[in-house]
Amino acid sequence: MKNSLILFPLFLFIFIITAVILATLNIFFFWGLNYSSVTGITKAIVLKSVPYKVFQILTASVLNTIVLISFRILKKTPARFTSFMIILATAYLIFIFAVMGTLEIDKNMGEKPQPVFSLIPDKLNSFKNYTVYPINVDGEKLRNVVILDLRDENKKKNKIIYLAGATEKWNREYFMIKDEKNITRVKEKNAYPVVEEIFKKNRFVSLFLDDISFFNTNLANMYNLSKKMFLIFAFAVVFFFSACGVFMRITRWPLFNIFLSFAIVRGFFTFYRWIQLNVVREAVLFFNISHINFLLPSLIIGGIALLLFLLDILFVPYNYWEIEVAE
Amino acid sequence: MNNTPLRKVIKLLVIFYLLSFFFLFLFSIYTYTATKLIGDFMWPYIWYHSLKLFIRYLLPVTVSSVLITYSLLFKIGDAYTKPGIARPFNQMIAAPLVLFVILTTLYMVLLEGVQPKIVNKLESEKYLSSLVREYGRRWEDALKDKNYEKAIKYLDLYLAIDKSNKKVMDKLSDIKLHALGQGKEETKIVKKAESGKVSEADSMTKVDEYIKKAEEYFKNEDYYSANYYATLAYRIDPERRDARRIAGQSWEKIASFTVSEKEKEKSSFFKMKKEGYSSLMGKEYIKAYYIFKSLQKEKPDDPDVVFYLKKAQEKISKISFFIDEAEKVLTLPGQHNLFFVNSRKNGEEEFIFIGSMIRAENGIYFTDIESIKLKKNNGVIYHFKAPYGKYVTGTIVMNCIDRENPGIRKEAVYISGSRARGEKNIIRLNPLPEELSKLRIGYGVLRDMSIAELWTFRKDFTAYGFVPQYIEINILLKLLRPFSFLILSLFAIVIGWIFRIRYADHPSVFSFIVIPLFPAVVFFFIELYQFANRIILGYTLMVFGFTIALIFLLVLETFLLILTMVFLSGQITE
Repeated sequence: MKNSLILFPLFLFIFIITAVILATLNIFFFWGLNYSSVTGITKAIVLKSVPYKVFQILTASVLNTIVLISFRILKKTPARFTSFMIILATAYLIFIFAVMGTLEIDKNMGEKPQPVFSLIPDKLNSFKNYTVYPINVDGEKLRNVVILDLRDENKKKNKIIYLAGATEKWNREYFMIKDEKNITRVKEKNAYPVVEEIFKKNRFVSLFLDDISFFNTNLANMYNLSKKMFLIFAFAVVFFFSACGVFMRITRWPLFNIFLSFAIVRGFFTFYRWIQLNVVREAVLFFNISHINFLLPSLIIGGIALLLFLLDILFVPYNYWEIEVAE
Repeated sequence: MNNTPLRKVIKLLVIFYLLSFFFLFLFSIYTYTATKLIGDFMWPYIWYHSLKLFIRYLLPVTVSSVLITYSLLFKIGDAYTKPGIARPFNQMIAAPLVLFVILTTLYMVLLEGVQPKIVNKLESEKYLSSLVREYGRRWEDALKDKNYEKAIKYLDLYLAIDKSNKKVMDKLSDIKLHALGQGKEETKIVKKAESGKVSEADSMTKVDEYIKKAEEYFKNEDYYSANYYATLAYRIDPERRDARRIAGQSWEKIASFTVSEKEKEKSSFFKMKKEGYSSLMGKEYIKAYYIFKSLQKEKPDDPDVVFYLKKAQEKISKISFFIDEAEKVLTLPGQHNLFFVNSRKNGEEEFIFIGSMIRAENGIYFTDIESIKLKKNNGVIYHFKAPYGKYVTGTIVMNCIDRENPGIRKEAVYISGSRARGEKNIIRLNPLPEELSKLRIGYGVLRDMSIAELWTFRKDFTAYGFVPQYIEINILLKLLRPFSFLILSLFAIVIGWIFRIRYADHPSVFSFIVIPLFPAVVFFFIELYQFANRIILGYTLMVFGFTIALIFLLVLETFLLILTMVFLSGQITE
């Protein structure tokens, strides 16, 4: 019993450590990328963003904590059902309260001014097709701008363009420079400030973070549109990962089990994205049920979780991984 | 001895390294098909690409190998010296610890010494292959236009790179034969014309008639025609003395006439020589070069011409170069799309764009040069572009001349503004040639530079208009790599040992089946670990600057190394 009860404070401890590390990295990433010398961002904007930045790492923190707490279960075996229930309940409560708390605080932060990207003066600002060197930058207004145009269609023309005055515009899709006659001279798709290179993500990391971001956006939408759906979905996810504890004991090679568990954490986010973009999109056309787009993933994830749970109880002995050939 | 931990670690490392190289080799063969590289580069590409990937994935492969060694290869009995007496854990890791320090050093050598060279090789192959494709297009176009000479030129250039392409070699022989045929055709036409003349002469059947004509022409002082008809008559009938006499007399007259022409020529040769000399003295070196070049054709052995032509060539090599030199070096690999701030002083900024920079035996050549100079608040001072350029003692010379024809010239064209006549085709370069190649657009080049190169280049990098943090983050990330290698390898011992499988005799077959999955998962974790490091270092760099970020990196990595050692020392064998 003692081994089971200790799981609650231990879970909380591991979660806090994981969340603090991940949140710090997330805030540093945001702050670094939008540092004031590059954008108009100030410390106030960063502080206002903290709750949402914490929200973004909550799911990953809770899921990793579930995997990490399973190490403890392997080392010091507690009561099977009690420990399962403690982990499920603790993870669920922490998850829903943390999500609700961060999203509510974020709402109460009021209007958050978006960081405004800007070119760095007296430096070569390189993008995919263009390199821009503004000598003076005053807000959106640029003076004495040298542009290098390396587009394929510009091969035979002059590559260097000089503009005495211009304006820069950044939006989610394009970065544009217009000259004094309002003619577009630079149009670069998906352009970010040059410092993005400093925080450049590897392709695999980028895919993973995109998947998490997709999950978080859906979770936040769900919370804002239907609290009931959010609670169901959160339960399905936490139940799924608690049931995944079976993978920690599925073979007698603990290292493989752990790697498998982490692989499942990674795969889960891709799987969720796949459900949303393929299954749910099709299902919405056939079923006329409100919030089907939220309910269906919960049902699928919950259903798989139930299967894993039954598999664990019926087929995998609790101390299977410890069985030694020598015995 | 067979069961020592060091042996186990080394054995599995060697197996992992060989297997990973083998798979990367296969993968490189597969990727070769998509590269569009020429056949000559196939094996070099496959080897170099495999080696490049091997270095890239060396860390996850090593960590996976260590994880598996410590979690799978130790039987329960290996942890005990005698039944019931556990072997101290330090005995299990002491020798491997030394091994990992050595491996870390080797890893550094591969990263800093080998990898940049491999990347350069691969880039060169890519560039040369694209050049070959371009030549291929050009000779095909020339063939369509039936311009065999041009086609042969491009085929020769093509074969200078793709040396063993039999198909193209055959094509070249075919075209050469074709061109020869065309030449023969032309020769036939000339011969036909000549034979026409002969048959015309043949039509004059009577020798007397020739002699009569010759006499008439001689009387009229047309000595060339007189000589012509007299010679014809004499050739038909060598016994005719009168024909011989007229031919002799008329030739004497022509010879005396020729001497006076030669005098005229001599005086014009002297005049030209004088003009060339004046041009050389008046610093009109290119004009002087062409004058002496044409004089050399007339009198190749004239000592004055040889001497002054050499002088003129020496002088023009500092202010110009030949078109064929530039076109020839285009077959060599080089760097592309260089753009930088060349100078910044007195409120003026000068920018230079260079399409390609190619190093050859006889110098550094540039193509597609464009430059603009601005005065703050005063607009453009000048803006020009030039097709070719050559590096000459700290400058780019853009005056590109033809070796023979003074009418063919490629030089800077001013789009706006202008410069003094003497400066028009020359631009002073601030970066050194070895720095120039690093001023590429897109910063990708920094990834392939060694730490030492990055370090020495750091200060100048900002002066050329680049964002300093780019080079600084690259230095930090490169310094991070050996730390990551050592820390993660040692941490893998900890994790492997904690989660080792317990068996008395041998692990299950299943364990061996799933081993290939490990490098993939480890790779993903390492990428996350390195990205986390990148965020922290990037943030510190942006907010506190390079020195603080460097100190922070050393402190952080030392802390992580100590932490790993603490975890290692905390392990027990029971």
